[in-house]
Amino acid sequence: MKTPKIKTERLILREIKPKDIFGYSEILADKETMNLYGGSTLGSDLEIKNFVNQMRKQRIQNFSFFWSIVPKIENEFTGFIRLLNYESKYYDLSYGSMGEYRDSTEFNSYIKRQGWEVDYALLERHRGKGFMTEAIIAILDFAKIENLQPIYAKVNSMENIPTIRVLEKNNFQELLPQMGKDGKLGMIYKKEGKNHTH
Amino acid sequence: MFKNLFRKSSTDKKEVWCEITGKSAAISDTVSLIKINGIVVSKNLSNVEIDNANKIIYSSSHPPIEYYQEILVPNERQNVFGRLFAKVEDEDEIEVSTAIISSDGINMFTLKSLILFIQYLNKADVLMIPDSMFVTIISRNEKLLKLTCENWGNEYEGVGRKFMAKKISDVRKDKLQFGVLGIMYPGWDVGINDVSQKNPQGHGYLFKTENQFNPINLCSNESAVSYCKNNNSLIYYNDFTNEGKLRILSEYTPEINSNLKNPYIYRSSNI
Repeated sequence: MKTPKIKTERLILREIKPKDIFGYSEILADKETMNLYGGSTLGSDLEIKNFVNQMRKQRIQNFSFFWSIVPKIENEFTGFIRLLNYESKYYDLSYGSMGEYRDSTEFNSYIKRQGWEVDYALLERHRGKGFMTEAIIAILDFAKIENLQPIYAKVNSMENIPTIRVLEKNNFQELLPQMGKDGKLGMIYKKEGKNHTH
Repeated sequence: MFKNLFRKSSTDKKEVWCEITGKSAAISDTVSLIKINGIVVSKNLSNVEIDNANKIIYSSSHPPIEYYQEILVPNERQNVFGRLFAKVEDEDEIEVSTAIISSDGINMFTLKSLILFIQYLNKADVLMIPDSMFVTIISRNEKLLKLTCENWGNEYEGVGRKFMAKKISDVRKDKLQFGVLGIMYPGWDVGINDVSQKNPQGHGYLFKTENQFNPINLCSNESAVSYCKNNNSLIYYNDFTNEGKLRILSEYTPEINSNLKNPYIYRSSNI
């Protein structure tokens, strides 16, 4: 399945295109955003040069869905939202630090291998407009229709109040505490979705 | 220091060349290029009727096929390819860019794109292009905007800000040999080189840059290279003449292409 185009009241969520690369690299170059997001900042421009193709390949491999968030009026990349498949290699990347415990029955009673993880980031100048709340609602609807359940979300730091609010508004619940990269307390959230009946 | 003193007094000739042939061209030779997702091979369909107004191909061998536009197949190749039509997935989200391409260059560019599919052109009526391939054609449908070049000051037609500028904070030029991998030293953002089989003893260029990309209106690669010289910057863009890859222009672009024996000396470099 290709990355579907999803329209909301103010946004278009669509497959990444080459012109989005510069906005994407702006997000990756911003230390504060990446601290909140939980990833590492851009090391060099080489990291972005094949990004569009990587995302397209990851879709073919059912590793993830990657949507660029584009407001209808500005028609420019303002951020992204992804769904990452725990049945792909992403699971090992995401929980690699746990070693073999990540495949234990006990751990999998919390984190289901058929689950998906949502993550997202917005350019700083577009925050506070409610774009991400709107995008998440649309992606959760898509996940429900496609039976991509349950959905997890990782929060790198409990100080990231805006993200926690967005998740709580969308009925995510605290599941497991986790240590963020900077040593701060983070949390894995879970949204238990019921399968959608067509 | 001397370089900085003279930088602003240098005058540009404001000449441009075809990005495909390297021959003299004009800003008015700017064409739009679009990424396509499929090709309809009309000669493989039976009893074809083309509805140009609604962009639909009717035939007795296939359900109606929607297309975006006819591909400009060079006259001398019409007997091989027949009439070809491009399909795009989502007409609201066309991936479009521009390039300066002369009429000879248009034919060469189209053939270069089509040659990839030559072995399939007798076998299928609709060729779908995999997502992992970036195939572009010259388009006549796109509306171009009147823009002003922020470096040369002239007017030109484009689709928006194609180029992004980044300030250079340091440059390093090292000798490099064909077949030996260049090293990207820690802290350096981007590297290019002029080494190939044709130029086995060349140079690698490494750049440290400031993080910020700044969008800029520039009419051509030639103006972009001049901007790089005058502003100690690199210019980045998705080069639709080179599979949509993210590539760069710098003040070293002409010398790099001369060393690589490329006919077009303002061709962007792969990073």
